[in-house]
Amino acid sequence: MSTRPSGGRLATLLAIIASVIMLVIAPQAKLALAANGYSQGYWSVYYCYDCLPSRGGWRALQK
Amino acid sequence: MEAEAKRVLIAPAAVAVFLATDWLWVGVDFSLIALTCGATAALVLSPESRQSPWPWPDLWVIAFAASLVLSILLSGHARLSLLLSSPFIPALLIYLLLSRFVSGPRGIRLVLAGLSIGALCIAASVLLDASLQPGDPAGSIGTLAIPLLVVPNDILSRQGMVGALPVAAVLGWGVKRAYQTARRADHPERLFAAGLLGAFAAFSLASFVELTFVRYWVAIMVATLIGLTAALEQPSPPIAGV
Repeated sequence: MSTRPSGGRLATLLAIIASVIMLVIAPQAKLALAANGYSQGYWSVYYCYDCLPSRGGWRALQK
Repeated sequence: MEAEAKRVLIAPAAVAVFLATDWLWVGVDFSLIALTCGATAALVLSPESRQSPWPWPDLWVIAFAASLVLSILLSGHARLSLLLSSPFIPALLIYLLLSRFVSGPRGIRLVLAGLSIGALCIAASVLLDASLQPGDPAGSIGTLAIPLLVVPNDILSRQGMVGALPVAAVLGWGVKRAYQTARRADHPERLFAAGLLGAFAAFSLASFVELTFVRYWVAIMVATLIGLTAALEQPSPPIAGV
């Protein structure tokens, strides 16, 4: 096995920074999704009933 | 040696807390805060278990991330695509923690315990809600807003083969490695590998019906399964007190 580091620490640091940014912008992001017809559902799923094919397919996203 | 044995449990504990509490919504994203704090502690205190550069799942994860970025940039609704791709951030963090900082049966058991607690809590809340609305299963599911069939497969389908190929490859890698580990009679964690193989099979079967990366848990589950498979390949850490 090689003894070289795999860069995991740097990648993890970048992912932590991304998570912190996500935590900071999450409230605004949820508002933006809600404004586009998306609702927050179970286990943090965003879903869009208007996007169902029976309700006009993906045209809701064209708004 | 005992302190080091405890430090290697920081990362699996962080992932376990995230998986056990991610169904909870109490106004703040407690689970992601816990995961981020745990990841920071692991980054500072825990030794990195993986030393081999560029393992195969890393390459495919990078390929998928690149296709995701490309998809967002080329999308007609880049901002919406970016928002809907947010589950990949904790998923990436979980994959890195599991594949880089978790090794040995104790860490893997912690992660599995977190998964089990989360699954039990979700199942209990569904049953509780169903008992409060007897005779109307559709209404019950609607109240919980479980989007079993209402989420468009827009992220993966938009990327077509460019996005599907890395996902298929990384899942294929996971199935192959879990199968090989489960077949090894001398491997101490071969039972975990057999369990992972079952999880991969269930996940793949479910994907024929309805799975989409718009769903938070799908991205989290892929990252958890691949990360655990990578963790199985790491040498076990020292045992406390030895």
